[in-house]
Amino acid sequence: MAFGGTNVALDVSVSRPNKTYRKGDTISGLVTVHSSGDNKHDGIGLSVEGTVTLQADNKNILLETFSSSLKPTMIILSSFELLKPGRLSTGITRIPFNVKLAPLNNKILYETYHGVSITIQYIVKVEMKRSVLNRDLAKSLEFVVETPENPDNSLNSPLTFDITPESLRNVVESGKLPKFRIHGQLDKSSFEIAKPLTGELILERCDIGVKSIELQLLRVEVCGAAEGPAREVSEIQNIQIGDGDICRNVPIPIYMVFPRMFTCASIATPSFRIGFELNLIVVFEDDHLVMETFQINLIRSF
Amino acid sequence: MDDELVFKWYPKPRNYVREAREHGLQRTPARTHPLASTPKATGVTTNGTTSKPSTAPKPDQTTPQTVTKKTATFVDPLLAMADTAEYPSMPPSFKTPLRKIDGMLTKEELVGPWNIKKEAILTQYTTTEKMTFSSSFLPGEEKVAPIVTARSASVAGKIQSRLESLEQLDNVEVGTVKEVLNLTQQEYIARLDQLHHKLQAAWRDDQRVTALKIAIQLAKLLSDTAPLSFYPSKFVLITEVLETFGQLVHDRIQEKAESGHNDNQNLEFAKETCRNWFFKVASVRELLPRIYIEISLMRCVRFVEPRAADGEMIQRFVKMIRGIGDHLVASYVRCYLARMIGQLAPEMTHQLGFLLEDFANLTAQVRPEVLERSTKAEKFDVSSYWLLHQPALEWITESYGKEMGEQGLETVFSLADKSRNCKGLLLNCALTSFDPLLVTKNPIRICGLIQQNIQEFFPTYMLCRNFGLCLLNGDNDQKERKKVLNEIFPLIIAQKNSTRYISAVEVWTEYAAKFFTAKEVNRILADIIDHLTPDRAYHNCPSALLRILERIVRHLRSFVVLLSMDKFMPFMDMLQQDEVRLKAAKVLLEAFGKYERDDNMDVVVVDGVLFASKILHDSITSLSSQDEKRNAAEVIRGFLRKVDFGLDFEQQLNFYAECRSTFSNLDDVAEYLVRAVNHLAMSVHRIQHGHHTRKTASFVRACIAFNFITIPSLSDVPSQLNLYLESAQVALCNNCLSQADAMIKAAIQLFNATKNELEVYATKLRPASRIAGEFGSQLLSLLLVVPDPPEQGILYLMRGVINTLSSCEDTVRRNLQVQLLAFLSAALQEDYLYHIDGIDSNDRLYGPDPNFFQEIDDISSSILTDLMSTLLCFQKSRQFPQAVKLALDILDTLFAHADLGRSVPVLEVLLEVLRHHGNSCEPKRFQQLKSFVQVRKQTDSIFSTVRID
Amino acid sequence: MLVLVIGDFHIPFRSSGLPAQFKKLLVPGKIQHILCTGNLCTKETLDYLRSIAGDVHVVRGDFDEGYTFPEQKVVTVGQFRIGLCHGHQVVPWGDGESLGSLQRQLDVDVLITGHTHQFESFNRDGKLFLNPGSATGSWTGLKTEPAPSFALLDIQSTNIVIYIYQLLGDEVKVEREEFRKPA
Repeated sequence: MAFGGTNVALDVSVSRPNKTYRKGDTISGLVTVHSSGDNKHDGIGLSVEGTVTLQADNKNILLETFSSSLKPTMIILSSFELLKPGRLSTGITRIPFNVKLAPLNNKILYETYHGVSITIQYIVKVEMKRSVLNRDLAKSLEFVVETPENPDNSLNSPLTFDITPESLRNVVESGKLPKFRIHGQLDKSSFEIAKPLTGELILERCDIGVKSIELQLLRVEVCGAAEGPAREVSEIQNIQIGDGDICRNVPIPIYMVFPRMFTCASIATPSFRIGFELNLIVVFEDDHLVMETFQINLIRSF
Repeated sequence: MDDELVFKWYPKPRNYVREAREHGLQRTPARTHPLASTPKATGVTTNGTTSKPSTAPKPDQTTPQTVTKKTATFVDPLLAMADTAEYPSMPPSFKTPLRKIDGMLTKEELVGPWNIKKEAILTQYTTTEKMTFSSSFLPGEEKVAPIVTARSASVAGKIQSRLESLEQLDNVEVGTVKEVLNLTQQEYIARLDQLHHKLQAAWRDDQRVTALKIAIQLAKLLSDTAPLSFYPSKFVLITEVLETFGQLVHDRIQEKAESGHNDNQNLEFAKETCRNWFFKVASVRELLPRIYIEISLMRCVRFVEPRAADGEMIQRFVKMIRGIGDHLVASYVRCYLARMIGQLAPEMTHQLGFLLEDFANLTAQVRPEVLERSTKAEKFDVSSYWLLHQPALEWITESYGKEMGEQGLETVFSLADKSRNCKGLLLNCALTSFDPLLVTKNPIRICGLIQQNIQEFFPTYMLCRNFGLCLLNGDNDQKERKKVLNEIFPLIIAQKNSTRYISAVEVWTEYAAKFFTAKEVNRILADIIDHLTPDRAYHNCPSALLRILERIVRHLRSFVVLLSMDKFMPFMDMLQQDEVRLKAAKVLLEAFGKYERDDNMDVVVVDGVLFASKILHDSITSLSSQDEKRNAAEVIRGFLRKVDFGLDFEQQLNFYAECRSTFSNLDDVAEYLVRAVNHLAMSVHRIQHGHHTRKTASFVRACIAFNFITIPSLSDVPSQLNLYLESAQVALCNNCLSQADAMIKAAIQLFNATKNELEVYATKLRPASRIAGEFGSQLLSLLLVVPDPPEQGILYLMRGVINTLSSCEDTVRRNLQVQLLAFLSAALQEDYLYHIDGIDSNDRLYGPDPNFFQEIDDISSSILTDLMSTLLCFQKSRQFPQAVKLALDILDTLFAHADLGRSVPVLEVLLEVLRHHGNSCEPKRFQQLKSFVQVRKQTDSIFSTVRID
Repeated sequence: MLVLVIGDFHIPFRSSGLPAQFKKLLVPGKIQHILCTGNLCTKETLDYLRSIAGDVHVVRGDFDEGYTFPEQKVVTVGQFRIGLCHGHQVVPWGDGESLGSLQRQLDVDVLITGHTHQFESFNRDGKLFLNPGSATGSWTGLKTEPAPSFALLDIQSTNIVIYIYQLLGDEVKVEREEFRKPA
């Protein structure tokens, strides 16, 4: 019990264990106040905020876009007073709340995303105003927003591929590559984000041993206008699907779960884009590697 | 002491026949009795006098007869097991039809077949190579020290640890990996254990990510197959940790789902936790650890997925494993998957078929030259390499076989059919994993597969052996059996390595013994001899040879049959080590004791058994323990019991004579022979109804002569004395008076020579004085019927007894003296208590002869006088307890055998002693005598003169 | 209370085994005590007796070498003190007066002995003397072809009913006698 005051702890929680909400959902939650003594306050307020932050750190970017990137764009802002000024008795006080999830006028609700240069974040924030002698207390909680859509199945057909030395671009010395042929397919071109990426490949022929076959998932963030977009590519997952010299002519599965923290449904807006690429990498015994890149579209459906 | 004092013994005249009539109880036929099998209803008795025995079974009780019947129809589960004991690798069924959602291991699974297999793997797959352990979680090396302190410095010097930063792609694999080199197997295992504990500790401390990281690193160790010979064990040890990990995760989620009160929300929380785990694991970069961890978390899948999705998930695992390039590594992942399917989704067992298919298809791509290159480094041959796959594959086929039966077997067979490289391995797994009855449905097909396998690397002998084991339990018709034998046997003959050869031929010898005749077994024995004689190869496989013998004897039990094979004895000759020879002898003798029919005796058989018994006998040396001797004697006696030449007594006696010389080391056997020969003589006696012909009489004499020679060869004096007495009775029965005399004389002489050394044979329950006393009283009882030949003088044998008494120990002497009074009283009766048929005892020989009476009178009186003077001595020297005891003994005998009316002087002295000291020294016995006198007074007036109080 | 009195088996030396007719009668569960006069000669016979009743008392016969049976034993069943002794130590064998001496020394109401291979029972001076004979009908020097026999005592307070089982030919003949303890 420091001088004259009482210890007060503020907390906020939402009812869904995965803290995931969609447009139109009501976020139900609870504000909890732990108070070690009688506690006078000047009102408790609650706000729900959604922001898009573009942070392009690229020399090609025009100054104005740069400046605009510094200021997060607010997508949601709703705040209200949860409790009028007054006193809270000793112990735990629980104050439930319900907020409907809706974007600001003319704004679109994007999926939660934490990238290198793009961040889309939603938080619930609770604030307790207090008298001059005590600092205001605040606590916030991030929640996740998903924006499901109806998938357009017409565009979603399996994607077959064949990789041979001849099919490769960007080869400096194709002569040094062994003769090989990989046939495979990705089951779709648009992948449901909550479901694994699937497909299979067959090493039909390869003159030398294979050391490893890997899947590399990349995200591509593009900020700014069409004339000079800032492109940021980062690897978000790399998993091995073949270890060692795998058997020839036996289908092995392409299978990858999209990491929740680093992905969202592909987004394309005038000011930024978030997209994904899949690299299939084959490392040969002699450490040479070949890579095939696939553009993949992530979708979230109802 | 008064020198003139003489006490005369007056024996009571007895009429034994009248006594028996007077004292006999009234005997009536029993209308019912307690042991009657169908008890009559209670209360219903035909006449009122018969009282119902109280313990007769009540009508509502189940009679014991029915109980026995019931138990007889029972199949003893242990016996039933014994038949399948050939297949220890076949685990008991572990179907678990009812599984709770929590996926907890049932007890059966915990202690069940995997544990058996696990232990087998750990013992079989070991290495002496040095190993490297990599992990970022090894504690500082100063703590890792299963190494002896003296060595630790140098070992520490060898350990190189280096830092290696990993790509930061994967948040769970961040860390610095330490490599510890040059570890022995034990040290390696110690580190595995350490990490196991560390994982559990981390979990307890809520360091879940650390626990996961440890699990991943351990799983990663399985990608390194070196040293090959240790890999299966490494798999066992590491998957054990993974199982712990899977269980911990599962329990944690389970706990979450159950805690608190808001069920629905808790379940949602639990699901979320579970999904988080799966996301984490799905991002593990490397394929092998990812598969292992995913499989180890299989038991958690139910929290988020419906059971229906099991099949799909398992399919995915099956296919993922194809991405593992190394075949050995892949085989063991498959095994792990099969194990988890068995535990968690047994209804999915049919999916194991895909695992087997993949195994067969993928291994077909292996090119021998490539394989040789990779195994050469470890000096591993290709065949041993494939054998390393066996435990894993076998586990899969076993689980598969239990659920899939015939259909599953067909799958495995057709895979073996198509397989390249692993035909034999697959076939072998089929042989050891499936029900032998199924496997052997089409034996000819298996013969074909075995022949095809010869092109490959899997050892043919092993296939032959396991195929043979199946066939032993199979149900084939005789034509097929013959064909199979003809197909397989050449393959066995072709085996050059004697260990491999013997391992296969062992089973096929039993096959021949079980389904064919001695002729076929003989042919195989001939081949075994051919194979093992060069370079004396038989020296290297004594226990296998012994097993062959056991397998033969299991089916060809009869010695007649065994010895009809001309190769049998040459085969036995290959058993040369003493220990094995002895065991073989025991096998034969035990079989003989158990199975040989008594009427199946001929010279050949007996020779065979004698041969075996001799091996056993010769194994007994002066260094053998009493137990060993007893055991050997027991077995040999078991055999002797069986040898019965029926009415051919001559041959029987000859046989015993041969045994006597063969088994001279064993007293127990010699003793048995004496008793057997006595019985033989008595059998002849019985057949002749006591009237010998000249021939039988001389045979009986030969028997007695045999014993007369044999008995002295024993070392145990009490046994000798006993046998002399028995043999003397047999001699008497058979009218061999002079031989009976000789026996008794020999006994008395032996007794006289050893009476003071009997301490050696004494036991706690039977002190030396008892041994002597017993012999003495038995001898006296016997002497009553032994007629004294006039030329030797009356009672000359008894005089011999009396002569030896003088130098006997005091109590022994006095006891025998008292008994002599009883004997002499009996000897004076007109008609003795007992006789031997056809022998006139002294009553009939000397009945009216006054000299005879006088002689006995003199002897008995001098004995009585001697006893009385001893008594008076005791009294004088105030040794009252001794005096009272002796007085009571004499009085007792007096009451029993003397004419009390004429024994007043003796009575006076005795009663005087007892009146003064009886109550104080032996109150109980004195009281007993007094009440006896009271009772006797009522029937015998003469007792009224005994004033005992 | 059923007490089986049996002995002088002499298996395997003088007999190959207990007659089948007897084995059929002697089933487990009926008999409470067994008093055996000795000369079992092998452990198998002892095991057999133990399979019939839990409480088995054995004294040493002249051919029970190597076993640790006592020479004499006194067992109390109900109101009776019963003495047990093989009897080869008695001079002369089976003599009523000599057995009386032994009975007095043991201070018993019933004296059971064997050795003569001849069933015998008599009441002398208010004491019961019982010899069950040889269960296997083994020979002795005195008796070359005895009938196999044993006895069963049904003991009720002061009364003993003696059942005598004898194998004559192939038939088991059962007779009964009664003994009452004098007041």
